[in-house]
Amino acid sequence: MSWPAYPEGYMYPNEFFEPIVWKPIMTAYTTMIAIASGLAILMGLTLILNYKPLLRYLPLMGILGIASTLVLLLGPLADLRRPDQAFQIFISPHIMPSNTYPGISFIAIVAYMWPITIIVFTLVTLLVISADLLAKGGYYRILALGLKSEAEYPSYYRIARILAVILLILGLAWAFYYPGLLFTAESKLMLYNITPLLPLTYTLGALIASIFILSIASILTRIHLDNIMVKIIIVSALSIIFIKLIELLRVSFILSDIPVIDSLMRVMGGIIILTVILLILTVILGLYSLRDIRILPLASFIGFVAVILDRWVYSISVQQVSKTGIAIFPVHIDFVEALPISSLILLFLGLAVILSVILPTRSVILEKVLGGEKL
Amino acid sequence: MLHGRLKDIYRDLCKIALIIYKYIYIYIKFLTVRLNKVNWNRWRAMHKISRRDFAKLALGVAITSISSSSIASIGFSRGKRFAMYIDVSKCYGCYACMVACAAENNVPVGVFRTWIERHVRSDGTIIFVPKQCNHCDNPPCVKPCPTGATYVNEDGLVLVDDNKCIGCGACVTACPYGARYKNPVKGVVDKCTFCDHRIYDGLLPACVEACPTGARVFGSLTTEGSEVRRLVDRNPVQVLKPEYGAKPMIFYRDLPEVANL
Ligand code: SF4
Ligand code: SF4
Repeated sequence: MSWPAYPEGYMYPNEFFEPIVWKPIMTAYTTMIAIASGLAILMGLTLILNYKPLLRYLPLMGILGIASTLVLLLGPLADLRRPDQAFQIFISPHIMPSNTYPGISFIAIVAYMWPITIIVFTLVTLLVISADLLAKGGYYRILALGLKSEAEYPSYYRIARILAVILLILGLAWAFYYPGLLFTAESKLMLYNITPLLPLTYTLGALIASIFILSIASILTRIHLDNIMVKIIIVSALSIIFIKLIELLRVSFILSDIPVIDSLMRVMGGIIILTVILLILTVILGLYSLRDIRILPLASFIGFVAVILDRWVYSISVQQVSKTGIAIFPVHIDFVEALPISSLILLFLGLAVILSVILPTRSVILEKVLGGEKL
Repeated sequence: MLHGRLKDIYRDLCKIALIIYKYIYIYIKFLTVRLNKVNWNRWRAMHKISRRDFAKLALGVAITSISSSSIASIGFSRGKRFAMYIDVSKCYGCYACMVACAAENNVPVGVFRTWIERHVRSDGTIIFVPKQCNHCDNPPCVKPCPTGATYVNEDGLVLVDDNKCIGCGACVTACPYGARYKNPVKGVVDKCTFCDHRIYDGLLPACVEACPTGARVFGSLTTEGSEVRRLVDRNPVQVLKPEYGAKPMIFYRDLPEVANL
């Protein structure tokens, strides 16, 4: 019998059987989380602060938010070995610690957060566009949530603003979820915890991803782009660059002589540097976009690619390092793995198109507000 | 000269960045401190101890000897507490336990409920170290399980309920000991059960029964006069990767440092 061998002997043979436990679909999943959570944060903040420059995008944010949240869990579902038992997560969730079930599972919490997010996203969106749905008449009135006249709209808008607080909290919770899950995966403690600022990076990345999707959708629906989007992209990209650089400094100055860090740097160092380069490019193009807003989609696209790379590093690359910290596994990506990933993306796009056909993508009443009228 | 000055400036800038970083870190720590105690203890240790020591800690080379008093401090909240004592010096690498386990538990080819590590010392001597699930007293694998498929039974066994497992792999990632695998036949996660189907019938786990040298001793730590308790009490024993705080219930005698990665 031939044994896989580390320099010091063979260890953890189960790792050799399936080194990458979470497959590349997890990158698509975490990217989809970035889009959904970014949109929830943006929509929540816009409503709470009543921030005029972003008001016109509220219907689009809602539509894209609902579409991305709806498809979210299909990512991990495709990665389950027993998807037929997935319902167990709802009927027997591990959310109360006890002697038999110590601790609390982040995954179980997220499973419950998912329908709540869909409901809140839908309610906020419908409340925001209720006057427009009423104006459309017919069956659309049902979706207007009982709004009788435009005069009632301000109170609907107020309710939307209250719900926006919940949406913001949910958005932040989603943005923090995956880093949180990694931090509690104790066996890879050393791997994940070289970056304790990951929740922050993920939140900022979520903003970049959502602005990218929003800018493309805005162009397609002929809503003009605003400089505030560029500013969000620039500030987020700069912050991520700053965080990545201080983390790299810390790793190279304090942790450089630890073998596990060495292994880690070998699998993720190159991608992190590429991510930083792409983010710098995003900032430069972003600065150009301030003069010519047509460049925004390109700037945000490059930022979006950087976000995907960042997700790849923390969902796939880290798994390449063995539990011993001294061995590195190669990643073999099967062509069949592209199938669930593309289905997830296509489903999201399809849903977004269907919803934008059903629901108004711009709100006349909000445009009036922008024109100077008071709600 | 200029090079030296640039180096100084660079070093100062790094120090400033590190101070800023530390503040951000403390803030984040404050936000996330409840997420994972072991995690932050490690960080605290990292900021206090030297780089060399930390490197050791990170590698888990510092094997902790467990005295009988520290065993008493392990929080047994249950009736029995099944555990195993493994005398590494008695294992001569016949693999009988591996074969017995695979046969008893239908373990598919390529994955292992128990395995034997083979280490060659610089003087040429060979050491065999049996490993398996440690049925930890503070099991990191149970916490992330979303469905409660992984659970701790009343006697401290960490088990998997096949009917509840969705095969998400969270427990596989969380186990520091590589003891879990996704069963390619069943689709659910599998690992050593201490042969629960045998021990409750008064039999020994298959691996213990098969071991020709008596390197493996199984029993309940909380049962007065049990062999395993006596051995763990009287001998200097070690556990694997104590820095993870998992409180493993496999106690080794003569565990070589190299086996603790
Ligand atoms: S050794 Fe791994 S699988 Fe077994 S109880 Fe400990 S953490 Fe869980
Ligand atoms: S793979 Fe099964 S036992 Fe492991 S965490 Fe997921 S549901 Fe629980």
